Amino acid sequence: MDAVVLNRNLMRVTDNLVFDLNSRECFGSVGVVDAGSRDEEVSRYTVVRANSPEVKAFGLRINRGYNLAINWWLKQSTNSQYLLLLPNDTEINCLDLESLWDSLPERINVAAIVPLSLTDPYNAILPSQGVGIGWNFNEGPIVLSREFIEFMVSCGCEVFDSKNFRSYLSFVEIALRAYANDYAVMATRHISFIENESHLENHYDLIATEESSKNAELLIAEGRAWLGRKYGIIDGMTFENLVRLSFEDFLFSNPQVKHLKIR
Amino acid sequence: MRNSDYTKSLFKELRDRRGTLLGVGPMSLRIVEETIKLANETKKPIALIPSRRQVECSGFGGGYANNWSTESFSKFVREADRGGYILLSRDHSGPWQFRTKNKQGSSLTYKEAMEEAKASLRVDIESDFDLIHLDPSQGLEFQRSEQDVINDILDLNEFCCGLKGGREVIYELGADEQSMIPDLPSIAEEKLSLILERLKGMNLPSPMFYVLQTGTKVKELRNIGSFATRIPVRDMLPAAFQIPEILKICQSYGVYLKEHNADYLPEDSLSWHKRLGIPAANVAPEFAVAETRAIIDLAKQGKQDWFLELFYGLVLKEGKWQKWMMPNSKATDEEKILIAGHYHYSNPEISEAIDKLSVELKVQSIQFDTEIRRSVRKSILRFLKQFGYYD
Repeated sequence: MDAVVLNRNLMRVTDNLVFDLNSRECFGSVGVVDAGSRDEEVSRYTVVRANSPEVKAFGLRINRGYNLAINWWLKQSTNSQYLLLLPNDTEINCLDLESLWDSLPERINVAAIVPLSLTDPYNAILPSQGVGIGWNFNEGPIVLSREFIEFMVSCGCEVFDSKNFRSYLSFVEIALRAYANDYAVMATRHISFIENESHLENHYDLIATEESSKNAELLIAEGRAWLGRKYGIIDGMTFENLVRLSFEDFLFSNPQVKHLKIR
Repeated sequence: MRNSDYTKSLFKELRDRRGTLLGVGPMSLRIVEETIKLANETKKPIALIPSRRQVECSGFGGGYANNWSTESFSKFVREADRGGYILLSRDHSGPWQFRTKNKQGSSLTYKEAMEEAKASLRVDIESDFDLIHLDPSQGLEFQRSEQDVINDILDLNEFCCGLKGGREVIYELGADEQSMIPDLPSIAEEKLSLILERLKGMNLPSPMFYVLQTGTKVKELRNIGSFATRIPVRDMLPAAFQIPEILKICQSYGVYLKEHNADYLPEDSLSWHKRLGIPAANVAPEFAVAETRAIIDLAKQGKQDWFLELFYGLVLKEGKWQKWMMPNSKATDEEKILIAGHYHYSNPEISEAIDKLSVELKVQSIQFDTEIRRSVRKSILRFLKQFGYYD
């Protein structure tokens, strides 16, 4: 597996995370996508630097940043079958890839694996194997399979929608694309993390986001507008419900993984 | 005593249309009367859901809502409800749900609290209540464990079923403290399964309704749960995942999910009740706030400053608004009045003042009672329209 970290103006935090990932000796390569940082805040591990005036002003956010990371990864001569994407406010708690690979179900195409934060309520209802199959996860770190990424590229679409600036229901949309194409989305505690919210709270100006209540307001307003433009759906829950039905349909066709359903 | 089959048939008819049964908190005479009118107009059941603090048996001095005792409330509703569409539904009956201290000022012991709850339940059943929500979860704040709370549910249910007519009553059970954190489906299922198994072992009837947390919680003048806010909330299950799962669980065990604290949910969340098939939902403070807001607006319109001064002064001094506050609340005095005004409608001083206000406003051609009823009705209609009462 390879990994790419998103950075914006938090070089020290980013470098610490890269150092942590490298020290675990389970990654082929670890790089950084830089989202318009000031020169002095660019990580030395940077592999892609976006610094157009627009990016400098507004940042990339999750979707556009992850897409740049994917594009870079696809051009590398790596045999890794999975790519871990992380925001730089991630602090790794557990990274047990051996257990993860052992726990993944056979004969199922895995599109994505969502690591759970330590406080995520899904932890309490995850099957005992430490992995579960689901469809509605919050945005954060994500592991994508090469097979799914290449399938998306072959369809002529980005893995993450760049026009969904604030990543509204972004992982739910990944689940839609997965289940509609007979891929599964898993969650796991074999990779777990803590989101260090202090960076967002104390440095939201540097990261080029808004303070959290304003961000939540914009997430809904802009997210609904995006959903309306793209799908002709105005209510996020309608979209979620469609994805849930697609997921139920997948389980119906793949009863061998029903025991892994998170519930 | 009304036959429970009749009550069930009313509910079934609503469910056949995928409607959601509305439970209305009876905080005032106007709210109760408007609810009865609406149930009879729509010819569909609405539950009136007094808590023990709102309406309590005469032996305990009655409740704060219109000075009703359980006995007089039941008589009033049955007489006014010509078509028989109102379900008399006790809400949150259990130990420490009426008062927490005894006359000496110390906390009620477990024994005292259970005895008091049972005395209250006896009168509920004698007063022809259709549905009783057994909720001993308050015990969690009085050193009762989760297992104790389950035992208390069984104890109370056994007590009720041992009374004349007790087996005819429809039961609603809940073992959780009301919380904005949605229940974890598989863990809720374990608890439900355990309760049903133990009820069966004791030859007690299965409940018709089961209360689970759907991500609704009222604080101040809004709903702060995940079903209302509809944004991804870290560390909380998304409503779109959790609600369908718990609905499936309830269905598989033959019970109906009852949602509490549906107040202030936005229209789009309300519309999901029918789409997801949520069988029943309770609403209380929102209707009382609508009434208090209308009273204040009319007093302001009529420039009745004497009333506002008296009402504001008393409500703020009594502090009933405190339990509804968010931590570090920025609520204004006016918001506190809206939140807690209804607790004082039956205070003789306020009651007299409201009567006087009505007379003063009539001189100015302001139809006080009509206007307030219009506001209360509009507030209830917001739910009925989304819950399938007008399909």
